[in-house]
Amino acid sequence: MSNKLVEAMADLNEDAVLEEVKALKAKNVPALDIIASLQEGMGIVGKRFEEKEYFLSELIMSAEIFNEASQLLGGMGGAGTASKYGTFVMGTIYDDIHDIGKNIVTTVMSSNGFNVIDLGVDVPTAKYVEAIRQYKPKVIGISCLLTTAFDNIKECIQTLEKEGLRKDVKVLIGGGPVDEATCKYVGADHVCRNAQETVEYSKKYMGVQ
Amino acid sequence: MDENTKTGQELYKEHLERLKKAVANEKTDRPPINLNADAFLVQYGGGKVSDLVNDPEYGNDLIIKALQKLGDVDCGGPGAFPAMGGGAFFFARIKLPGRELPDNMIWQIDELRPMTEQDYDVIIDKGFGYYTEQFMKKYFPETEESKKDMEAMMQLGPKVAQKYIDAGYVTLGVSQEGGTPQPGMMCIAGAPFNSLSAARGTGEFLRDIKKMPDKVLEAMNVMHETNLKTLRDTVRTAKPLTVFTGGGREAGDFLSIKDFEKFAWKYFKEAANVVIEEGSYCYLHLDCSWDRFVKYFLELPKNKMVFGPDGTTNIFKAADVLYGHTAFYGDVHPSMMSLGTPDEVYAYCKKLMDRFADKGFIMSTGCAVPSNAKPENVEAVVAAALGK
Repeated sequence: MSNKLVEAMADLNEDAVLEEVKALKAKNVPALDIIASLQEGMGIVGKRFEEKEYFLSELIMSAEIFNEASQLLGGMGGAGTASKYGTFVMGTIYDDIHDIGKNIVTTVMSSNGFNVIDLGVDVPTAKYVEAIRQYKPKVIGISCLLTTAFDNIKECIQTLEKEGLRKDVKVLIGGGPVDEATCKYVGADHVCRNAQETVEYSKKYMGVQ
Repeated sequence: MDENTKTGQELYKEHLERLKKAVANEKTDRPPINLNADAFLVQYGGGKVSDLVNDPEYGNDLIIKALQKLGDVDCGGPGAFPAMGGGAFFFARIKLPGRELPDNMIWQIDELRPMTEQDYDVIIDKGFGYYTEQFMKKYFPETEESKKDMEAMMQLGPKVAQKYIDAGYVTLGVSQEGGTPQPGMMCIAGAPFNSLSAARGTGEFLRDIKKMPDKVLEAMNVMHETNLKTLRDTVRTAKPLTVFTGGGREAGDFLSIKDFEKFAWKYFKEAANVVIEEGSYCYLHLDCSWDRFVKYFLELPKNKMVFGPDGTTNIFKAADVLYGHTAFYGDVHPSMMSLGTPDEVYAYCKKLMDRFADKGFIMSTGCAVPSNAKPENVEAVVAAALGK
């Protein structure tokens, strides 16, 4: 573990991160070890977010730096760590085309070590079913900004139940009008109020330290 | 005399006076009721949401019918017009019910996010007006059809607005003496933060303020100077009772306090001050949670604002800071309107009344009434405000 890299990542010092990654690479440090240091730094970023020292703009910046650094190592796939914490599938439910929240969550999840499958917006139930069968995620996220889409989320979750997929997957929901009452109504497992909450819930559920 | 026997003119006068007192944070006989609810109301009146797109005059007739059916509602205004031409404001295409969407779906904003990193320099060198003009030419070129649509809207706008007045309804943006707001005189105030965030995309913009803060600020300063001049001229001419002073993407968990002050509040405050200097009130339309930022409104003059959260900000905690300083507008959560029971809605409204209704309070829902709100829940909001 490179403490210098961990610290630079945690402090969002882009130049120092990139410089240290290049230096470690030149010393033939394995890509996986470098990625581990970056993710250690990302963990500190998440902690600072929870402690309200950092906010979403810092989370997004951390993801940006992380992605740039991992590109130097040939991308996350090249580093061989794409599914370190497992797969997370996410989309905005059908009849809703909003994507701001979804994009922030997928960006932050991806840079925190999850293999993210972004289904896009206006996603029909069949696409969630297909993605769960194909990628076997332990956690999925459904985003919505319209109260008129609550019934669609409910229908989607009921279909997962009918298809025998529900017991193996936790369903997280989020978006402007979504609250605890919505969670109960649609039959989801948890409401995430921000991207970091999605990271923390998923890590906890998947047993990641 | 009860409201059923009053003429439209008498009702209009009564509603206008009540609204004026409420926004000035004065005592009222009861809270004025404002329903920002066109998609709900057109259905409650027996039509489809697409009626507001395909036949706006008919759609608005249905809204008026719905308002009358609900009881003595004070405020309600023309529906759907902004959705028909309002995409440019968000750098977006608007998908409309009855066209791209099914009949009873609410219109949706499909953000185009056309702005690149290099475009900051275009804004700095040539102004934001030039940038938006180029955007319009590229994405919304004027055609014979669009010209005709615009002319029809400009003609229909005042006619429909007059129908609301004749039926006794005022709008928050009514001119201070009452009467039809002038076409093309829509006043909106806020920080450049939201325009840039829409133009760039939220993720990219939040990254920009970290990676190239000086460039972003330089562009914001150019935009702000133009915005303030336009805002002052428009408010001075139109003399609206309240000006929609909006914010959202600068709130919630998006920014640290330091960045909020630097990139958002400075500009928001100056825009709000222009509205107030010109004799209007700020209707603070606050999307997202403003819990962390409530105290900032103490920096603006007393009794010149209506604090209007969207159901996400804790209005009661905000009252601990702002009660006596601003009027309040609130704020039944959209989820409660769609999923809750009338008893829950009524109880929440009574809680609002107990806290706020002795003065300066407008009864409403957070942001807008959802199009799929339960009718009995909207009736419960009205009943609570009327003391039934």
